[in-house]
Amino acid sequence: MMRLLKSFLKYFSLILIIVTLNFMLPRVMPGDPMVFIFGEEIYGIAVNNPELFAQFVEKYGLNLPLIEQYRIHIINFFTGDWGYSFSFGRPVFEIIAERLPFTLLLTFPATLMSLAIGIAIGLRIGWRPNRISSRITTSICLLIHSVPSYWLSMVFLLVFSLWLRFVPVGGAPRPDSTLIEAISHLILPFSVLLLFNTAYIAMIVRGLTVEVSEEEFIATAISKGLKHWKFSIRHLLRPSLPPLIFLTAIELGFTLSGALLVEIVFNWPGIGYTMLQAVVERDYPLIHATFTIVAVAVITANAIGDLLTGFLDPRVRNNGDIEN
Amino acid sequence: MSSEERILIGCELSKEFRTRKRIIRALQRASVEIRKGERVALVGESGSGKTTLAKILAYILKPSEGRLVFRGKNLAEMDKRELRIFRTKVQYVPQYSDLALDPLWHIYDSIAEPLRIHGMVESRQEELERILEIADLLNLSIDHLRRKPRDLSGGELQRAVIARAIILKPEVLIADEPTSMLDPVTQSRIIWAIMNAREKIGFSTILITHELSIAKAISERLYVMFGGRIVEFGFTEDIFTEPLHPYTSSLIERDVYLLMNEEKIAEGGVFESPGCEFRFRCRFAEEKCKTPPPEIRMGKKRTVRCWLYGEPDRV
Amino acid sequence: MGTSRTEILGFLLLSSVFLMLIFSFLPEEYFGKKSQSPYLPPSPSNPLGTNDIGEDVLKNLLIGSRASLTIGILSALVATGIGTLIGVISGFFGGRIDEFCRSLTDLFLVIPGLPMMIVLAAYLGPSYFNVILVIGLLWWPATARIVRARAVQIANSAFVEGLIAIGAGRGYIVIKHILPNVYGVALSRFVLTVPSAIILEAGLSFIGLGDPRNPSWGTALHFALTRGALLHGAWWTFIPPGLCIAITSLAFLLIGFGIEKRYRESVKSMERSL
Repeated sequence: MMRLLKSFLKYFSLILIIVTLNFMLPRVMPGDPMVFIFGEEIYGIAVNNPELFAQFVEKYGLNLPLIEQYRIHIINFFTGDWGYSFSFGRPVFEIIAERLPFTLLLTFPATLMSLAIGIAIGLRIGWRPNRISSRITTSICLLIHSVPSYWLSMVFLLVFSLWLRFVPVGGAPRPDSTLIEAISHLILPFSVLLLFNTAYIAMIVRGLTVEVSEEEFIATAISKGLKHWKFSIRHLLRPSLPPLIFLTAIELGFTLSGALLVEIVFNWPGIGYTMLQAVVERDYPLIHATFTIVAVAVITANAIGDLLTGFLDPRVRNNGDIEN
Repeated sequence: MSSEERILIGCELSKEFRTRKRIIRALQRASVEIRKGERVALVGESGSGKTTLAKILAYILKPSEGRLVFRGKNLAEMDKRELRIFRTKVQYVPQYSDLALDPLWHIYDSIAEPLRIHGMVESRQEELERILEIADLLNLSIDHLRRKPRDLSGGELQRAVIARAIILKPEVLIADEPTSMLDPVTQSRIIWAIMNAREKIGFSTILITHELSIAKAISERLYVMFGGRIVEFGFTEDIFTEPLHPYTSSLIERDVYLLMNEEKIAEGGVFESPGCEFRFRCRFAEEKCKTPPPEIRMGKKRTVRCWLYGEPDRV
Repeated sequence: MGTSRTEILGFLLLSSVFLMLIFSFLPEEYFGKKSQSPYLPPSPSNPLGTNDIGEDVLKNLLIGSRASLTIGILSALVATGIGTLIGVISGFFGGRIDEFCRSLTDLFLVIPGLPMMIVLAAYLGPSYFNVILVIGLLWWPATARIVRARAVQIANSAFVEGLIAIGAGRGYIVIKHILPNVYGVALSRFVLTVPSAIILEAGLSFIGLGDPRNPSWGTALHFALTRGALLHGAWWTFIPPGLCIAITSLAFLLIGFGIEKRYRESVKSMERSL
């Protein structure tokens, strides 16, 4: 219980740090903080109109002492008041709430599937790393890893959308689309993410497996005549499970970051796409919000991973306090 | 060879290590005196606190309590300059380890380093002479000097480490288990090397070991440690003829039964209950032993920490 | 300790990329002419075709190599430098300094890299220097962790203890003994950071935050997407830049893995087990 509380505190303070960062950045970065806080367009309008300007200052509480502003900022964050986006003309929170599900729709299934496939592949090639098929697979994974995800997206779009006309060119399913239509929009970005993450996980699992397979107890098990894949699952997977779970959580975080740029290529209306729009317009409140939501998601994923590892790893459970 | 002049005195030295869970009392009120040129041995098993004491005497660790005095000056009160001088006078040679010397440096440079740090030589020529002198004392050839640590054998490396320690011609050399982890032949070579160097340079030696046979061969006076305390002290010869503390006698007689019969195993120096730490193994243990026995003088230069020997003199 | 086949491959790839860099400095006449028509597919006069404003793609590709490579290498240098510094300080001094540094490292590891860089770059404005700064300031934790581990190993070793016993100052120990022994890891980390840096830079350029005066391969991808080349099916405008990024990344990865492997083996041999 104590440990749970400590973990929760740790992750909560991480989120707090992010929120604080959001508070400090416009005030610390070179340039007029008001430009950043209002948003460029609004600032441009208000700067010529002293009355309007004063109104805005009042509204954003910029005439209050810094501590007050900070307090308000934190309260706002937790109550859902994330500012106003001039480029969209709507409250930021609304925009994020609308777009986040799209990103999650893409990343969750991709992460889960890539985990399953990646582990399977990783085990296979790690068990016998010197076979030709293993080496080829490893090379392919390395290749995929070297390529930018958004570039691959562009290639996919070109080949499958433009040339082969399998699927529509980007965009998202509308509320009234059929399932088939929805999937056709989804499949390409999903495939890219799947490919990338599978390659990454396969490489890591391979690394783990190679290490473990070199240890001595393997020899004993082989002499018992166990079939190698059954063996893999029992002996290799079990001890590797805790770091693997942890890795999944981290993976989710990575996938999210990677998904951002992929969305852009496919015009998929998720957080990444929103971020692009915000950047183009220099809509700072929105830029901050997209960053924050990704950060919060990653932190949450880490926290869950930490929790699960705690439950699964008996060492951690008993000790509560591992001295490094 | 030794005189009555006391150079290094440790007075009621204690050391505590704190981790998040517990306090480890590694050393409790140990008092040590080293005279000029004398040969002293510090004997005890793992966890007895001998390494901790050694490091404190060399002032690599600071004592939690107690005083360390070198040539009349308290180390805690020394300024930077005096401390620097102390460092050249009292040297510590650690137990053998892989990283006893910088793996990237040639042996020659490692041995020369103390000279260079303290600016003791004025020319390369002088430096070379000093190093060759020391190398010769320890039976290291020029070829050895040219190599790097990975190209030396265990014994050669240990001798190089000793060379580095004595190149500044210290007054006290503290050697922590210089022979463990080495084969018997190499062990004697190392001991010989140290003693040979001692003849020529004249430093006092504090040799820490768990091997009684070695202690007997190379020391005039002996400290026996157990459980973070010094339990017996005196002339080596006296102790071997008539050991006073039960632990000492069990060591000498290699009373395996006694040595193995433990109800409570000391975890590397952690002793949760006060009192004489040896009472769990001692055949003479009684109720009294739950309080820590004081140091009792048993004649000239002989002390023992055990209730068997009566009440302490009011000194 | 010979060079393995993968390393050699890495070096070959790297040389071809550097060749591109060198060629980029050739005067205009050697490249395809700027044509009136956009989206020309590859032809003898424009080996890689033209982009949406008629520029020769090959020319842009070669010029792009300058920004991509230099930004990649420089930002990796900054990141590795910061990481090594923090790792050594953390590992050698220990105690509360160590705890602080480790918390800092964990913090930076959790904050998602690319989004943070995007935010910072949006503030600082798109410039060559800012991109290097932003990548360097956020990508050091991986190095710091690994360097710290090695620094701790060295700092706890017998010879450092001995150095303290001789009276060596801490600064002296750090500079003369810790840093040289940490150099090997730091180097391998540097080489392995470059590909990440290149891809990150490309990502920033792709989203529009790269320096327009120093177009990189990422910038080319950005234009291909936003100025319609992709939708026109003009694959020659974006496939080459992506391939170049991939080849460069792969090159550094292969070399980096090779260095890492050799370093590990040499450490094992230097520190003989009993």
